[in-house]
Amino acid sequence: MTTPWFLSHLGLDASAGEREVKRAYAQQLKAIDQATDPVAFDRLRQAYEVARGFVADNGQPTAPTALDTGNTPPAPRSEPQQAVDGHQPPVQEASHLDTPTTLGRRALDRFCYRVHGGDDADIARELAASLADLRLQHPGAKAVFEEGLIERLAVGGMRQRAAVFRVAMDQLGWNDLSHFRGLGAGGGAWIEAVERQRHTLSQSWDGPRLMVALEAIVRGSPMHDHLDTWHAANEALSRYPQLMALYLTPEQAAEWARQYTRRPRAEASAGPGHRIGWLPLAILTVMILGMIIRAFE
Amino acid sequence: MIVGIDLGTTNSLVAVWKDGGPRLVPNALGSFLTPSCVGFDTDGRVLIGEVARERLQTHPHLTAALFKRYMGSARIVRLGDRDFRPEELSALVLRALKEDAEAFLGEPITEAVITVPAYFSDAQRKATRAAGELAGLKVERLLNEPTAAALAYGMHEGQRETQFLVFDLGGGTFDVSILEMFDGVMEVRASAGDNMLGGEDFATLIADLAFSTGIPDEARADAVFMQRLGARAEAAKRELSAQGKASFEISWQGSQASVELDADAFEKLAEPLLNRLWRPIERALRDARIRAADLDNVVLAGGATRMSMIRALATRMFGRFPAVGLNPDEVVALGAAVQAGLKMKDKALDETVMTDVCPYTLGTEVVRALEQGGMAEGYYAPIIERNTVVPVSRVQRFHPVHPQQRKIAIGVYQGESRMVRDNIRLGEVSVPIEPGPAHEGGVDVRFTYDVNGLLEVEVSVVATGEIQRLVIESGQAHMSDEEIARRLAALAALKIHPRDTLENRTLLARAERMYEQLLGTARDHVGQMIAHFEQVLASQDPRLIARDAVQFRDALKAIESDSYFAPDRID
Repeated sequence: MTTPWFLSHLGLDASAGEREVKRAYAQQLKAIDQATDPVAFDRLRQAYEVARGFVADNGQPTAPTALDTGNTPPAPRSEPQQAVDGHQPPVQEASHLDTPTTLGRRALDRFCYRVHGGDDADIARELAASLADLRLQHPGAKAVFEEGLIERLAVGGMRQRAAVFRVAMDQLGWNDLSHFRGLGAGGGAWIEAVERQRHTLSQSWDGPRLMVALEAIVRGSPMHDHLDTWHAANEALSRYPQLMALYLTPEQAAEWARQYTRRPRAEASAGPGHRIGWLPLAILTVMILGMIIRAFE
Repeated sequence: MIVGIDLGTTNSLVAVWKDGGPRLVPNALGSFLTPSCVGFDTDGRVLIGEVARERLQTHPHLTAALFKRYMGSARIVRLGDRDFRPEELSALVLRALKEDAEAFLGEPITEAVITVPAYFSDAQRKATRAAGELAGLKVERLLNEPTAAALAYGMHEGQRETQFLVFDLGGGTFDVSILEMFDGVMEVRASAGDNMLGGEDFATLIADLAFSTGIPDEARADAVFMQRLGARAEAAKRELSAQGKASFEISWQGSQASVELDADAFEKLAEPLLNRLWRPIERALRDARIRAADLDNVVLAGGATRMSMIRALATRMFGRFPAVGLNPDEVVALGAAVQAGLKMKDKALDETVMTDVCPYTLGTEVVRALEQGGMAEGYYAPIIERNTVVPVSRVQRFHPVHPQQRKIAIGVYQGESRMVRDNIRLGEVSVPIEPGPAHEGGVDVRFTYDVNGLLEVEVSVVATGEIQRLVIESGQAHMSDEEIARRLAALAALKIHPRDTLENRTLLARAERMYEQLLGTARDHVGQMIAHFEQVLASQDPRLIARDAVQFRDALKAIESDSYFAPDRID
């Protein structure tokens, strides 16, 4: 095995462990003046950072999970407690005290139960109270809570999800770029995707129409009342899956899809092509006018 | 000789590296802490430190405090008929500290290491450096406060391999840093903070209670009353930590308020502030990829960590008792002196080296192409990610949006939000570009962040190689070199009370403050003492003055500690 560049920069070979890496870095660092030789410092830093990651991973296989940035909502994780924070030891020592995992999950259950009713302000208050409680219980418990919350939002495991999402953006710092980095796989990407879709939707000309369609589905109002809505809603579901997932539970979405495929023939024929855009109409009008004028000449 | 200066919101200290260790320098009154207060007396002469702090209550319009909070802003403080920038007031404090160090060492001082909160922005750092220059000090290094505390702690601990957290709650700012120490390397892994949270905010909470228990809101406009109330609240805050309960009475134009508080009620009251301490801590732990349980120790810095409530909270947060052995008021200044020793390449520090980080993300504004076509503006593109080790230089290439574009504007922002509107705008560089196909005429944007925490932005046009550097826009928050020179001359013209008369001036200021607070016989008594002491001063007999000053001080102390004479209580 050849020696990777970062180890040879530190004057080490491939068998080096963490202790050797630190010692070699310390020695070279003392020979560099950071203020006057930033280039040498930068090179040493890069070698050191890569080397430390390398020796830390040596021996224990790590599987960096690719962030899910696709259009499909992330699949539910079967064991959210394993995804916490990356440093969580797999086995907790037996103790009479509750583990952060238990504490976090218990708080999340209670929170989800309480937000069944109530408006945005109630939800904000509940979330603040839950977070304050968790802080006093264990420093690690909040991360478990947050992970679990993202998962429930993603898979539709709770009510009032759109409102909870808005409140959590604010209180949990989901608006913060680097906050995502520390979140488990998929969590940050999901939030990012939702926000991007929300922005796109708000900028698009048919945004309001799609939101009306969505509300119609959520209310379960009879579809044949608004022919247009069938297709708009279908469009919204395929174009903004993450955003729509906030509003619909998987059951609601499935029920709606079932109705859509079985919709009456008359409505099915009134597909998107039913509407003629203003542009072809305008062109047609201009052409006819032109012909009339020419005919008069 | 380089000195280390802790330029605090409430108090400032100076320390030097001497005989192989950091040493604090006493001021003219023999104290290590010099209040960061500046004032004028009626002759137009400048008063700095304890004497100015005493006069805050008697002469609020001629005295200023807490100006560190305005550093880097365009805010002007008016003292009598003169206007001052926060840099200038800080410079006056620095000048007093410099004179103390000169008297202590017996040699002129021209260079200093000055500490700043880790979370200070670019503008705030530049203002601090300008303050140093205005005080006649070359600022060798701006050092982050928690890093300074860690340096002092590291000296204390020796060569052990350890990782620890510094919890620095000062008068006006809160900082958290996580450090790792091995083989003489002191490495900051992550810093986070809140620039607008400090001990003063806890005192303000107590002061506000007076308005809910009988003082009308109009009293807020009365500067003299507000200073008096602030001092009373501050004393109550200290008493709460010492005795677990505190009470005071205060009156304003006939209305009376009596405030009574125990430790539990205070903690309940302070809950919103305590909650704000959490976010930076969580962020720092997360960025450093360290669990709270892996920390070997928690180091407290900053005077506000003396509050028993804060100590209890820190113990609860980390499941361990914070490190003891270093005075939280002094630890930052001691660390600044260690850094000064490092700068002077002192032999005792041969085996020590320190690295720090940039505590916030720096980036620019970009336009994003949307999934369905079209463009959305206002997105933030990070160039230097927060908690990157400094010095650091990073470059990214950006392309114009439109092929016929003739100019490209690079906005410079600091912050963590996805949209630039939620981040702090630092400035903008504009470069002309050749119109043409968009992909050919890109620009390279280079951000360089140095060890002092100062940012330089350089934009080069790929096609022409033309280079443009950041020009901070006209937000007058920044002082140009000419302006510094002009202000330097103005400051030099100010008459400052000679150092050797400072002690007696402070005594008189304290007596005058007490005279205003007391009533009845106690007031008469203090009045007579003031008249007597002024007579003694006029005699210009040094022996007599020295003897009477001691008597005067003891008498004042006795009155102040006597509960029977407690201010504002009617006999």
